[in-house]
Amino acid sequence: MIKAILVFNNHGKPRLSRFYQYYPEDMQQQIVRETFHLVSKRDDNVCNFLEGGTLIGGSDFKIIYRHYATLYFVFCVDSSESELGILDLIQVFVETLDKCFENVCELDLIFHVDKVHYILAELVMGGMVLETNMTEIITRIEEQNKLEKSEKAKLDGTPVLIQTYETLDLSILNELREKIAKM
Amino acid sequence: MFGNLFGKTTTTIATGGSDTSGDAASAGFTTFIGKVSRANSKSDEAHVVATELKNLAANIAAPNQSMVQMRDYLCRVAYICMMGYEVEFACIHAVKLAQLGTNYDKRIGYLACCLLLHRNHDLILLLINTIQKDLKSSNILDNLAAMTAAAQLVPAELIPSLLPMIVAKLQHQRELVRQKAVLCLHQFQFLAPDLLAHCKESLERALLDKDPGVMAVAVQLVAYSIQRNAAGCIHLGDPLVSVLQQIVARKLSDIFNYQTIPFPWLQIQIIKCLSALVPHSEVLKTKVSSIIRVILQRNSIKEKMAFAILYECIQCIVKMAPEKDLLDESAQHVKRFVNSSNPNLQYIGVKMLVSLVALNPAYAVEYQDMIVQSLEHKDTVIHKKMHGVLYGIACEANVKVVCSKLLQQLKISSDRFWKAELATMVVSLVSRFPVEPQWQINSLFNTLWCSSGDLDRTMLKDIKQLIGDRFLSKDCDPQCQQYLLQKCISALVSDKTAIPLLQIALWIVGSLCSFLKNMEDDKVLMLFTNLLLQENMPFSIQSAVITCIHKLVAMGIVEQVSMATKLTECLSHELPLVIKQQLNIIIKMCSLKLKVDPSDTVVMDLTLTFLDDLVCARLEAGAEPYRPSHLRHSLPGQHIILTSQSPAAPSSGLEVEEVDESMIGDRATVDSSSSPKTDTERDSSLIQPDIKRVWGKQGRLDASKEKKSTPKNLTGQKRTSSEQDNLAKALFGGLQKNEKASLKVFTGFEDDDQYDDYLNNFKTDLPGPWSNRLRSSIPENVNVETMSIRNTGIIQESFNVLNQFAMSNESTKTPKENEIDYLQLQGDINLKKDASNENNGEQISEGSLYNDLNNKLAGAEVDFDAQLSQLLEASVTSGDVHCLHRTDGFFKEDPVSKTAVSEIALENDGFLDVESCRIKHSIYTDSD
Repeated sequence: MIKAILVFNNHGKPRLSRFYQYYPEDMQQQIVRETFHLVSKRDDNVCNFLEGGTLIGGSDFKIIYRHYATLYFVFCVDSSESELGILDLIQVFVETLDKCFENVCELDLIFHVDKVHYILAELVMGGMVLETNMTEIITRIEEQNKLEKSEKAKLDGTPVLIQTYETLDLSILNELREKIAKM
Repeated sequence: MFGNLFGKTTTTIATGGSDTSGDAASAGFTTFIGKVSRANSKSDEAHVVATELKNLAANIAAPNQSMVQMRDYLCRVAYICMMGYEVEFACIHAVKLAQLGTNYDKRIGYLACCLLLHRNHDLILLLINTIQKDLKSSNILDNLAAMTAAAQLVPAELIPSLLPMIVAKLQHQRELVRQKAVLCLHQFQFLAPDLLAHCKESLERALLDKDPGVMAVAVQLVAYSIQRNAAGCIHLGDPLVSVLQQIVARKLSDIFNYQTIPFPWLQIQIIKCLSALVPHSEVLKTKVSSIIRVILQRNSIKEKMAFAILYECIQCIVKMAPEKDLLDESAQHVKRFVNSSNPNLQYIGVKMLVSLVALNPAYAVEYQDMIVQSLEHKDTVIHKKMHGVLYGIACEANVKVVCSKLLQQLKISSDRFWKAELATMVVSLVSRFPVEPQWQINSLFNTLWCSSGDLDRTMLKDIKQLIGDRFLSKDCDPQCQQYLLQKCISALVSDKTAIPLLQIALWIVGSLCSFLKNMEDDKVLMLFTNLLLQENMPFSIQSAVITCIHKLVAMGIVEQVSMATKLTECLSHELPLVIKQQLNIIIKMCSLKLKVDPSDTVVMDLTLTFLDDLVCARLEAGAEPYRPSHLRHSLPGQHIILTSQSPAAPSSGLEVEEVDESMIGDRATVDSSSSPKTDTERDSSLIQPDIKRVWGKQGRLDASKEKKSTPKNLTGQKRTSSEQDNLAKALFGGLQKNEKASLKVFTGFEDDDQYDDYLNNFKTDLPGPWSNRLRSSIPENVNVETMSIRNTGIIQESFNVLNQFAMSNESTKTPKENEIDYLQLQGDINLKKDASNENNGEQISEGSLYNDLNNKLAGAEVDFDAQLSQLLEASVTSGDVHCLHRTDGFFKEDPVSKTAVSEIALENDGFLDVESCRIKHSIYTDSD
């Protein structure tokens, strides 16, 4: 069973967290921190599995992670899951995100919390792998997007602030780029 | 902070921060994220979030919010929640949105519920209605959202309200709905397995669903049933095999291929299920082994996913305990894993090697070099797994090397789980390969040195048992024992020793203390007193030290005068009350020069027959027979002087002014404290010559009867009686000298004449009067304690009684009356009264638990069972030997509690010496 799915960036900032077993709020944060601590220490050329963690389930507990540029995708699972299977499941998840968002980046995960969760919900439900077939997942998501769009068309004209962050975010973007340049 | 915010997430993905797939976040959300990303410190961030939350809370609660706004707010809340801030206020709005919204709004509502709520949240009750409504809806998306939420949020007790609807969804025409329904039921099965018993068939039918997606999730559900009860699921083997055959034969649609492999996750899942089933069915085994062969043949090793299937196959083969050729073939495959350049595959390879080696260590030979190399592997995970292989290949010849490697790891590792695992391996190696005793001792001690803080109770118990079996029994090699003792002493001397190791070391030293004779007295004493006086020592260690010192004195290993002086020094230090009491007892034993021959057989005097004599004498002198405190209360028309707060004050006969003679008989029948056993039982117990019997089944015996019964008593017992007699005389005879003053204290004699009379009695009657006087004057519950007197501990136990008597006395007296200090009772009568009074306050606070218990026991109205359990609990948690000593007396009558106590006694044998536990155990079994 998958106990938690965590996504955080290279600095340990959570970008997505989904727990399939209940942990109190502070415990969840601690799990994210500890997992980041464990994972970030590891080189790129070592294996993607970690065993035993003090928090989630003791010795019957594995961390399987993948590192993509700025993001860590971490699946916390119990011993009944196949490591290699989960490793490829992460790949499926990321590829699906990529297809749905057309070139996914960290910002997509922040601003589309809901969508990312829907994609994840098609992949894993209640800690169990629901669908592993990427085409199938994408079809479902598109189906839902269509529905959403048709709905939005109906609502057009309502005085709601909807802007793409492309325009609004420009100032932040520039600021951050400056920062990077300084570093 | 977010220096890499705009970096790519995959190497294959082009850069870009744009999103063209649909809507984007609202301005508010964007600004908020901007602010958070600009925050330079955690407190800045907290400030930004707090402002945002305040705004959100105000906005979200405002009336007439449009659904779109609501959606936006909840997304923000979800984000803030992920950052780890408290967002409880939004929960109700999430539920509301799920309830009132339509389609897309509803989905966000459900999502927010899933993220913010949990199964035991109060608001779930509100959500159930919504879920029910949406399950009935004809809109598939509503159905799906409801089922997703149900799987995550519904608690066990609410499952019945949804179950029929979800079971009905198993027949839905859309495979998507069926799929989610199966997974939802799977979750329910986790929570309440019994509830789903009636729909087992429909669930198993899902296994044969025409849609492979539904089939795949159904396999997961079946996997759970198999995991719980493999033997009961044999009938599922055939359908699973047929599904697997279809997949392998590529009969499924191509869209289920992943990296050209047909439905790999389903294959993995099915093979897992089958490997759990094969040990239970021979027929299935042949089928499975044939299909596994096919898979192994067809598997192309080009794709990584193929390795995942291969791994499952090999795991299955190992579980089947199969033919040699299959095993050999899998060994070949393992080789491919282990030699791979991919660290992931290496890891899996080593994992498989561990399971292969468990079947046949010979498979490891090929990897010799590799194993040795990977012990220095840079990847700690593989490195760790390799130690599992090492453990697997251990045999008599190499066990030492293997162990040293494991211990090396144990020393440097800081991971608690890993250390515990290593320790388990070392201990099991030591128990499996009893090669050199010294090596065994070294290994065990090193394990304890490195990890005893991380080991759990059962592990420590196992280690103790191992040491006990191998080295502490009588026919062990004394050289080994000597060595073991040296190890223990070095552990005791070091100040870095962890508590569990200290406990075990003390226990061993206690069992082997005869070897300490060769050591200088001073050193031996220093060893223990240093430990005792060390700051922050837990009580369990202190009591273990006391047990050891007891043994030293009883066996005469240390010269007793020096011991006494040393221990008297200790008394001036701050120690728990109980420990001080024990020290006093030991000092007393030293001053009396008592010794116990360890070869003495142990016979229990459960009934204290040797005291009957005194009881008789006192009764003849007109004393009131002892009555349990509760009876004292309930008897009407009785004029007993009792202090108002102490219903159980030792109101002996002397305090009774007037007694209704006719009642004596009645009382005696319920008076269990005085020789409650029958005549035959009594025959087996300790006996004293010159003792008349006063008590029979019916109560007090007549004087004439008494005379007749005495000879019977005398002839009743032959074995060990003379020995015990001597011992008892030795014990109590010595006490006479300084008894005059202390007896006064014990017995509460009011005037000197009475007391002198009594002392005369005492002197002539040896040794009974002293104890018996006490016995008849103290409450029943304390009295029972003395029943467990055994000859080696006779002094100690009697003193215990005295102490307890004193304590109960103390706790129930007013401060003015508090003249009788327990120290006096120990014989230190010369201590000035005022000084002792000062002491008293402090000691009482220290021993408050003790006093409290005594107090409660003394209370006549308190429910007896409750007292017992309380006492028991207290004694277990505090590790208090004395409490335990006391409880065992009470439990004598009740078989259930009896086992409980004996269990506890056995479990606590770290500070109770094992022997006494064993004796206790035997008491219980004997009395059965």
